[in-house]
Amino acid sequence: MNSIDTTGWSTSAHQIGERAWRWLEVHYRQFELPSDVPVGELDAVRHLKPIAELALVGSIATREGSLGRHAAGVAETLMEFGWAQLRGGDLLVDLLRERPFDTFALESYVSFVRAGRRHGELEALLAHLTTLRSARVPEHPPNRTLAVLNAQRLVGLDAAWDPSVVLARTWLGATPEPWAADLATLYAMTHTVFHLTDFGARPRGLPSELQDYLGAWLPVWLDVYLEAGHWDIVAELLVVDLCLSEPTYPPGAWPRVAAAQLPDGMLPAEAWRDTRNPATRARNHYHSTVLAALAGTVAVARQLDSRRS
Amino acid sequence: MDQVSLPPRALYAAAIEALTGRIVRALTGSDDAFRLGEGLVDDDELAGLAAVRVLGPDVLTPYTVGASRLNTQDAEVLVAAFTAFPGTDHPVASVPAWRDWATAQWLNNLGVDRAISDSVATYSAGSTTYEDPWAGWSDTQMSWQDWSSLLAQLAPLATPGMGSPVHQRALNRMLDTARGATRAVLRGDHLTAAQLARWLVAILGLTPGPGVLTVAPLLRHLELIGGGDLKMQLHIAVARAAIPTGPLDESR
Repeated sequence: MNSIDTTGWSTSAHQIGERAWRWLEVHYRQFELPSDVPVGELDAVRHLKPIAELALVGSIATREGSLGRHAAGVAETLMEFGWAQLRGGDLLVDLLRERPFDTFALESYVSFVRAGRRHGELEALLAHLTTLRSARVPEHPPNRTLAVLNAQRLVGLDAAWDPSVVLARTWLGATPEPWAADLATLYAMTHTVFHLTDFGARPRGLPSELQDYLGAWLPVWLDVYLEAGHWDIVAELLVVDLCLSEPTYPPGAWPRVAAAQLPDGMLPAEAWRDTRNPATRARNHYHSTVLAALAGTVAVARQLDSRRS
Repeated sequence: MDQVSLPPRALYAAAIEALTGRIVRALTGSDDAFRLGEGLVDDDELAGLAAVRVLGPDVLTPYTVGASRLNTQDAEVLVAAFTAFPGTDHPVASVPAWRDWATAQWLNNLGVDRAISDSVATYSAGSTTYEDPWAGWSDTQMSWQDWSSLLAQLAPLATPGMGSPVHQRALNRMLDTARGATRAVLRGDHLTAAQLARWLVAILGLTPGPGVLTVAPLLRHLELIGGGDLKMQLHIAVARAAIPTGPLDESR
């Protein structure tokens, strides 16, 4: 059981990614913004977050180009869809006019920037907001501040903070007792890693002592949440592994996630959550399926480009 | 041989609970004159002897890490327990065999009459008396999960002064042991967590190596949230008694 399986994980990763992209292709339209709700009343979680997350996985697939023509085509479709939903960025400007100090617009916009779409007026507004003293004292959880920081870097704004100072205030930055983890702290940890490395593009963004820490304890957290059938956090943890300088591609985990994935490509968020009700199915399980697409895409990319720094 | 009529299960459980509680008290300082045989026969002698067998080498911890002194009567209780419940049906290389082996080792180390430790060894698992129960054992095929599960079952060996092939391997598998302890806490399995924390103290003390767990906060955490399970408390008490100097350093 100690020997590293060099092929089994890779077959599973391909399968997970390809199937998830098929599901996204069929279901993304369910996340159209309602036409009858004013911009200021759009709900961040219900309406805007799915658009941003579909764009995120689309932008990473566009960047990596690893999963073949079908996935690349769906990724482009998702970018077009999201950009159209945001009216080519105009909606984000409208959002900022309503709520100028909410960083959601920047955090969403960065995915479109990653995939080559830009909006001049929006960037002028974001640049102005970034210079405010107000922007220098974020009351966000530190891992969210890292999201803003990564977005500022990619958009080309002057970063308001030193990432190492912010990192020191995250859960991961404290190298906590690994048994003092729960879902809340682990999601904070995964996001810290995602934003420091830009979802695996730059593993060097994560200091080596934290890479060592994760190398020691990721296997345990994976084991516990695989046993629990909490596929959403499992997929996040697999992506964290892919963001390290030397991913381990946990050989026991990938086939189990592949086995949990439904034939249509949906990865259930949790093993115990209902997957049959057509009214709630996509909404309850899109996040884990986006992660499945992301994990499969980055896994294949890292396999092809394992020495990335 | 006459069929012995075994006491009911509840009597066994009560005897194990009572003996475990007495050992915990002996180790935590409120009983410094622990006598193994004391109280064993109050309700049912056979249940008392069964409790001695269930706790294995840990019945000797008041003498090995605690302040009590073993005498011949204490040692003879062990002979009676092994006679009533021999381990000779167990395979040679198995957890019961290794636990029995450790009991015999301790009796030797504690300087009891050779005839007594020999007679314990005779009734031990897989024995001909001096057969090496470790012959052929290897952990090289064990995942960290399998390794830490085995180590948890062998927690009675994690006592200062004891040495075995498992101890030698445990030095090289500290991270796997710490992973097992972490996994146990996250699964709410506080007994296993305490068993593995005991190993970490036995092998590592409280000074963490890089990437390895700091044990002091884990022990404290288990004490405070692990509930009243006496078996768990026994492992924590042995771990604490094994710490060479003063109070736990909580600063790291």
